[in-house]
Amino acid sequence: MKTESAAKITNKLFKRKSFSLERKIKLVGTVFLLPWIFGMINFFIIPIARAFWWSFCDVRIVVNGVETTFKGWENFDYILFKDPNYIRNIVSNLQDLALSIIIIIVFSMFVAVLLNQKFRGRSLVRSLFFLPVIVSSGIIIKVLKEDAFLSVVSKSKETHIFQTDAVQSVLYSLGIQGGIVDSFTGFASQIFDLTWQSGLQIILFLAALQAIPDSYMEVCDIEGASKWERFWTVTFPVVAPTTFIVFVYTVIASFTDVRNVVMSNILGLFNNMHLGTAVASAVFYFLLIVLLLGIIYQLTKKKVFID
Amino acid sequence: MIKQNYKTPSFWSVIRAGDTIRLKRKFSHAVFIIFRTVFFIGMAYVLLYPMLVMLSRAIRPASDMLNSSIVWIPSHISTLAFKTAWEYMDFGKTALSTGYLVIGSTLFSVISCSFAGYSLGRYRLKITAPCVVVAVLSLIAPLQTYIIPRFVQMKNFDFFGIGTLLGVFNGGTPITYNILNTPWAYFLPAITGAGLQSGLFVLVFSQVFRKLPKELEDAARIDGCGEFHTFIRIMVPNAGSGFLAVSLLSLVWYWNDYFYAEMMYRSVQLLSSKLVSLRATVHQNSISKLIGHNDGLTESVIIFAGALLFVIPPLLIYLFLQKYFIQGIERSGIVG
Repeated sequence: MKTESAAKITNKLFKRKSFSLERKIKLVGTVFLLPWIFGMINFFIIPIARAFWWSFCDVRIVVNGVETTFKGWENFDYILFKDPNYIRNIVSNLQDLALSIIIIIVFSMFVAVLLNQKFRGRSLVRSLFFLPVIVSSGIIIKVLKEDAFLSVVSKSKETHIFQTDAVQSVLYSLGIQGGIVDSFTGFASQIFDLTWQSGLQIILFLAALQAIPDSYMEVCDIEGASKWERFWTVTFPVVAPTTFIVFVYTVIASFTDVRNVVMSNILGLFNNMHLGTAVASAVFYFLLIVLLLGIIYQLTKKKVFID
Repeated sequence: MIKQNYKTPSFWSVIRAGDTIRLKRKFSHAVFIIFRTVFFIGMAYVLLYPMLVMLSRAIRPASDMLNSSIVWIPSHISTLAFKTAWEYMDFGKTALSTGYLVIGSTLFSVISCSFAGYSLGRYRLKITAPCVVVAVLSLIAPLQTYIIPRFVQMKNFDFFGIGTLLGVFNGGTPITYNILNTPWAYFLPAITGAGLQSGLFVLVFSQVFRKLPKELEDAARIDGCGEFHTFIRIMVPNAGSGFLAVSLLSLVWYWNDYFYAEMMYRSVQLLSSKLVSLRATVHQNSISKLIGHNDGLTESVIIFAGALLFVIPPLLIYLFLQKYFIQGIERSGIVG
């Protein structure tokens, strides 16, 4: 009788103790998370839900908050069919993005592979390549490109920091066809932009390369694989999943860029108090990008994500 | 016995064959190294170009802009542009107030994001998976999508619903405060982990903390260290490089941010807004004070000087921290 009750008590104690410890740990985990959940609900989920709702409304700012009147698809109807610039801007944005994203991915992967090798002055070169992340080109390049002096000199509608007019005229005089020359010099004048846009992407690829275990490379050495084979059979498959992440980052970066016309138009619409339209255009653009990312994810999922 | 049915190669032929292969390898390696060096030098030029242009143009007298014989090195060094840009941007004062906001937000943001990341990375809770989804969503959704509701929210801030509740007793009108143009518009989201790029930081921290060995935690638990102390004393020091990388990125992104500043801090202009509107300021001043700055040349010299001033603070921080920053980024597993 006595022993039984003692066993019961210890059992109870033990059970309760282990239960409470686990519970305590989980509770602490939740406490760590609480401020963030609070912030997400207040500063992210509620505003974005409001943005979706307001895109169907006529929104006016009044003394205590806003006054919304539901008007259905009118905002979307306006931006999609009546505003002459919206669709055009989005299409040209996506076109630029589609072109530059491939170059950025290939370029940053290439640079990351080079930077991953051991050579003298590596840390110096690395810190140079991460410079764009620090100086975050956005505003600076916007300011420099808008500069009156440069735009007078280069005469073209788009002012590039590298002037390729001279090269262009030389190539023309050599008798090379116009289209080829234009695409070549167009690319050359974009080298600057592309390099300055791929800072974070290089870092991402580099971090992925650093994660390749040394044993893989040892196997390559033993088996006598050439550098080319080594890249395509070991490095590339390991780094490939990062490509999707780099893709996402590049899309987001182009999205939030100061020079993005669609996004800067939102500021303009806001200043003119067309709040409903501004919100609708942001929401539509956002959904479009999410759709794009989703499609790319579905397409690359099977091929890229090996494990 | 196995019959040798091949000719034993002579000693010399082996040496020669080995030599040519080695020579070939050496040659291709040399070509590769030359290519790499040239590539890096070219890239260094591209990357440093804007800095050099800014520096070279900012220190020259305006008359040098038209002199076609002067490309990089000005005829004499003039500090006029710096002085003017400094004055027009009110640099000292603006940089201080911007720095206050930037450093404060970064501090709060790093603390709140590390807490959340620690929980997401090391605890298995029922809400972990949905929280990760929300973090990814907040990373993908650009600020522009929900900036206007956020603006209205900040303009009529009701203390997370408390003001509205109290308003019931106040005759129906909610008690709200306008916290636009106050530091709270920056600090409140940062404290609650909803600052600039916080989604990214939370995910990075969850990666960093997940990689730390489980034994650390167990040992701490056995020694009777509480959960919070485990985090502060054991996890944070071990994740130092991750903290550094995130802090630097956050500092830089807050400093360079233009959009949020333009929405939330309009009447008290921050440095990025001042830089973007520097051209307009120059125009205004040259019209009102009849200083001949609107000739395009002087104007552009002033703008280059302003841009350089804007870049210098983050650049200095980077110069001091770049070694640790790169280490931190490599170890932090931003890749996921």
